[in-house]
Amino acid sequence: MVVVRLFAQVRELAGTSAIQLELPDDARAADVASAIVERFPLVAPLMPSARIAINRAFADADTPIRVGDEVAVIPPVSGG
Amino acid sequence: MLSWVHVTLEAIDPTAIDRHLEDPASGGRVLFEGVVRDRHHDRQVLALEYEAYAEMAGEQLRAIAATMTARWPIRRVAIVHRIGRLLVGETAVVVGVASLHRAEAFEACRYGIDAVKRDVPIWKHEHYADGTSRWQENDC
Repeated sequence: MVVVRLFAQVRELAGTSAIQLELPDDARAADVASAIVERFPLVAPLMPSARIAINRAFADADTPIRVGDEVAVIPPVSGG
Repeated sequence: MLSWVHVTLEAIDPTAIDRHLEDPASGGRVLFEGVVRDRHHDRQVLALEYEAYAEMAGEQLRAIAATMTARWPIRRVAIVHRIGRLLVGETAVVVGVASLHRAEAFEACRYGIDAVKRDVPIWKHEHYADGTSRWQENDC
């Protein structure tokens, strides 16, 4: 079980700022993106341009996720 | 190496940041200040709200400052990003650098603001005069 934090437009469309996901033991960052799309179809158009962060660092699609990791969906940023 | 790097809910005082960059050995300081514009294309902006993944944003800002000091011989660095609700004309971000000579100060500062706009999890929600609002995406 991992908690995934959602931000900005993804948070608004999902209607929540955090969700719990049941992921297999060998889950990777890309699996988080698929699970989010499955749970929140409205978010699907945003996911191709979103990045996944694991423990506050940007992850690659094949970065493994372990129980207790801090996971977040990072839609395209607009700071500055 | 002295640095001053954080995300804040408070109004930014660029003069205070500039003072923080003071250093007798530095021959120059470059300070980039990003402010809230009154228009987005043809729409009139009233205000905007910055949302942050604050813990990661702080870590990303510190990593950017560390890269700046590793790549260029600079003596001071400051990166401050404001979040929350901002009005037109208010300062959203400051990136400041002090160094012996100007070339590295300009280069490091340019790298810093570009990296902030690309890799720091902060999002801008613009509110327009016609009552609509929109999440923005940086073009980088």
